[in-house]
Amino acid sequence: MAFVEVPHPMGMISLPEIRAKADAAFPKIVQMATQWKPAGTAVQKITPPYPAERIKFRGTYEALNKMFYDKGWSISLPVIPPTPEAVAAMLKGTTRKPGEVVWAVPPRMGQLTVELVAAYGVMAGCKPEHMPLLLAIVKAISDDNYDWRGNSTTTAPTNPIIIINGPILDELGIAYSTGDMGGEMPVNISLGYFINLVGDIIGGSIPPDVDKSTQGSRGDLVALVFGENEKLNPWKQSYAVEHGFKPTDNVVTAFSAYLGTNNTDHTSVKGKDLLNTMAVGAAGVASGITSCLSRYDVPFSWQNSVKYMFFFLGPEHADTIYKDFPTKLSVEEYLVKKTALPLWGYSPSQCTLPKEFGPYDENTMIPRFTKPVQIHIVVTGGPGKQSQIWPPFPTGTRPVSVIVEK
Amino acid sequence: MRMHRFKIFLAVLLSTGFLIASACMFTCSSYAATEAQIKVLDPRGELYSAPAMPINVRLQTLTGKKIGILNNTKPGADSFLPFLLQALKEAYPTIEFKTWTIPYNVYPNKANDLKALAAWSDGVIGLLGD
Repeated sequence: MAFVEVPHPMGMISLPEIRAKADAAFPKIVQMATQWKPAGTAVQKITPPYPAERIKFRGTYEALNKMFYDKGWSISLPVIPPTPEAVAAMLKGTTRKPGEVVWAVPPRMGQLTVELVAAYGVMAGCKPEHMPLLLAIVKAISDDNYDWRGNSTTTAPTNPIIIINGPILDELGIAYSTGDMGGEMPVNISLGYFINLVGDIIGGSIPPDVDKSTQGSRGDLVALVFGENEKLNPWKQSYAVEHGFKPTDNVVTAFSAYLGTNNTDHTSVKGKDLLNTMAVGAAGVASGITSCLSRYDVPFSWQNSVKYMFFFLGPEHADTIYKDFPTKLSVEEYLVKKTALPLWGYSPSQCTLPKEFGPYDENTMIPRFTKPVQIHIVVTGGPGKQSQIWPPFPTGTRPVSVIVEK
Repeated sequence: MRMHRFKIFLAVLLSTGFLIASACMFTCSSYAATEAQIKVLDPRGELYSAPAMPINVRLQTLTGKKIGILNNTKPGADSFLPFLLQALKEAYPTIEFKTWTIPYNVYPNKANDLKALAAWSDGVIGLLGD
C-alpha cells in the first residue's frame, strides 16, 4: 500500500491552512495512485513461534536487565530472567500446550504462545498458579470488543483495566480491599506488569512508534488490576453476577480506559446527594471527546462516543448509596439522568440534538447516556470516603468478561 | 609475658580480620554484581505472517475512473476530503467519486463495507485522519 503523509496537525486549524496542505499533497497523491511500485518483493522468513529461542548470557543480573532493555525485551522496570527452568515451572500451572498460539498481538503481530505467556509471567513476577488467570486476561484483552490495536497506538493516554471476581480472589491473594488499586499489592502489580510487557514487547506498542500517545500514562507500564470487594458489596450482587455469571465463577473483566477521576465526598448522608457529586465527576471525564445522549447499541462514531462509564465505589460510599437505592438498576437509572453537561461543554459537532429533544440553548443540561446498561458499578477498596470513575477508550470498545478456566 | 600478650592480640586481630573478610565475600558482594551464565528465552515472539497478496495493478491514469474515497471517520480526514475532491475534479473532470464512511474501529459489518468499496472502485484513496 502506498502512503502520502500530510504533516500534523489537521484538526483545529483554519480551512485555508487545510487547503494549503491539500494542495501541497495533491501531486504526490496522484503519483502514488498512478505510478507507485513496491520497492522490492522481499520474502519474509517464516519461523515457527514455538519453541522460543534460547539465548546464553554471561554477566550480572544488572547486565542481563540492560541487555533485555537494549534489545527491546523489557520496558522501564527490571524483569526476572525467563530461564527455561522458570518457564517450565510456570507451565505446570496450565494444561494448555506450550506451542498453542493464543494471540497475534497488534500492532506488531508477534505471536504469543502459551510458552511465552509463561515467560512473561516469570518476567513480571507471577507464580505458576497464576497461569489460568494470565490466559484469561489474554483472552479478554485480545477480544475485538477490547480494541487492543486502537488503544495501544492512539494519541490518547489509555489504561488497561482488569477487574476480577470470584473465589480466585482469596485463593491467589488478589487485593480488593484497602489500597487495592495502588502499587503495593504484589499479585495485582505482577498481573498488571505482565499485560504491559506483552503489549509493548510482543505487540510492539512503544512510543514514539507505533504507540503514538501524546503524553502517555502510567498505565503504559503497569496495567490496573484489582478485585471486587464482594464481601462488602451491599447489593450482594457482584459485577460478574450482574452480567450473567455465577457467584462461584472466576471472572476477568477487561476494558480499555481513559484516565479516571476521584470522588471524595465526605459529607453526603443521602445516597442521592452522593450520586449527584459522582455524576459531576462522571460528566467531566473524557472531556472533549464525549458525545451527548450516547447509545450503547449503536456503533461508535464521533457523534456516539464514550458510550459507558465505570464507577468503582468504595464500600462506605456503596453503603451510603444502597440505603436509598436498594438495587443496582436504580443507581444506574439515576446516574443516566444526572450525568450531564451543559451543551457548551460538548465539543462542537459532537452533540447534535434530535428534534424531539425540544427547545434548548447553550446552557441546557444534556445527559451523556441514555440507558442504565451504560453504567457499570463495581465495589472495591477498603474503609474511607473515596470512589473512582473511569471512562472507556471511546472507540467501539465494550467491557469483555471471560471465565478463568482452570 | 608482654611478648606473649602481643602475639595473642595479633592472632585475635588477624582472626577477626579474616572473619570479616570472609563474611564480606558472601554478604557484601551484591546479587547484582555476581556474574553467572544462564539461558533465557527470547520473549519477542515470531511475527504472524498474513497470507501473501499481490499488489494491485496501478491505474495508468485517473481520467474517467471510479475512485472510491475511504473516510475512516478520524477527525481531520473529513476536513481534508473536500479539498482533495475539488483538486482531483479540477485535474480530471471525468473522474467519478463515491465516498464510503467506514469507521476505523472494529464493528460487525466492516468486512462487507470494505468489500462493497472495493467492488465499486477502480481505485481507492483512503483518508486516515487524526
